[in-house]
Amino acid sequence: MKISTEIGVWIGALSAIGIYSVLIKDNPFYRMVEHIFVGASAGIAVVVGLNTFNNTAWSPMVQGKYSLIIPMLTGLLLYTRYFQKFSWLNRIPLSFLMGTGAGVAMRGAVESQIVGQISATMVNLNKLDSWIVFLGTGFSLSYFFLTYKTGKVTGYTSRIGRYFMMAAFGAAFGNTVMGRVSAAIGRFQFILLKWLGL
Amino acid sequence: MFAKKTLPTIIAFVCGVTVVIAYFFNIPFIQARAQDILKWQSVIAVFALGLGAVNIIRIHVNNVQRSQNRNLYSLALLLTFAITILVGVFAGQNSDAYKFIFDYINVPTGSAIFSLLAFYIGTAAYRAFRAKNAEAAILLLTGCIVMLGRVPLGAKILPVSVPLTNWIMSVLNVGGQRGVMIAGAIGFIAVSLRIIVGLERRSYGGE
Repeated sequence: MKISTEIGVWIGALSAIGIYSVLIKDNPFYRMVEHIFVGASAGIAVVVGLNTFNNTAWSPMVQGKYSLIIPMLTGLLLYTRYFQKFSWLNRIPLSFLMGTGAGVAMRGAVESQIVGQISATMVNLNKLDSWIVFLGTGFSLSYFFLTYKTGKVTGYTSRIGRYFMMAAFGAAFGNTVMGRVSAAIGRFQFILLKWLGL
Repeated sequence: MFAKKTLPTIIAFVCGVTVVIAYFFNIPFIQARAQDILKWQSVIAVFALGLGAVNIIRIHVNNVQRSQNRNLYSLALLLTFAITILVGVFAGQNSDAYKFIFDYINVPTGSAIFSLLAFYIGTAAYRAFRAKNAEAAILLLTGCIVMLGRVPLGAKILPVSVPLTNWIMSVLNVGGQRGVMIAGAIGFIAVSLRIIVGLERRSYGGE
């Protein structure tokens, strides 16, 4: 056994132990590690944000793209929420973000989640597996037809669709479990091998 | 009234419609305006991120001032937050100090929090995996097969679990997930349309 002398390894190992200590009971060690993590993560997000701001707004504006003053001033309006009298002004940047976000999400949904998925389902229908995928997609979709009363045929198709969805959820659950377990194994390897040097 | 209610609706409508039209129609003027809107959105989004940072500072400074039991935790959070920003801004994102914070605080702690679910999932599985009906039985069966098929030990216990897992993942899973994805996307489009035409004004602070 050769315990690591690297301070970074010590911090990483103690952080992991602090997080795992909550499995026994909520305790001050866990809370301290949790707060430090939140501080570091939020700090990293702010640094990345500042970098983005510098690259997409500040530097181009200094170089002569003065139209970028408009989104900067609009962005500043978000902070009017701290002043009750002017708080309504923060609706302007929020509506800009929501409207643009909805437009981007809409075209993304059409492209990748509808057209992309349908075209991927329709190709190579010359194998049994392709037919199972095709029918599974159709049956699962029929489960979401909520605008009319379910008849005898649609009752069967939606039930089969539910079976397909349950199989997909089971597979997703199994995958999630194995992903988390492998992450835990990685942490234990770090503690046992890299920190304690076993 | 116009500035408080109508103007935000008009802004959301113009931005949303421009971005959508630019995608579906080849109109150079609209496409150029959509590019501007997307650029402006990323600038405004940075200010929104700053709003989150201001809120964190406000809440935790308040905690420290009130001298509640949590003040030491809040102080640690504020210190880490400030140090990370100072290091990131003045030393740069490629500096050793910034990499140290990222590699030895952020990554290991985040990974440990992520893996905590491995311990809680046992009780979740006990609750979820009860073969009370056909749906629950399918959930139980596929979940167990995928878990077995994803580890070397599982392949030793039940060799057929590996090809079965591959088949479940590429056939049953795809069929079920595609239905959910397409139905979800249709719902998503409906909500987006409601936001763009101003029927969901609450999303940007309206009534």
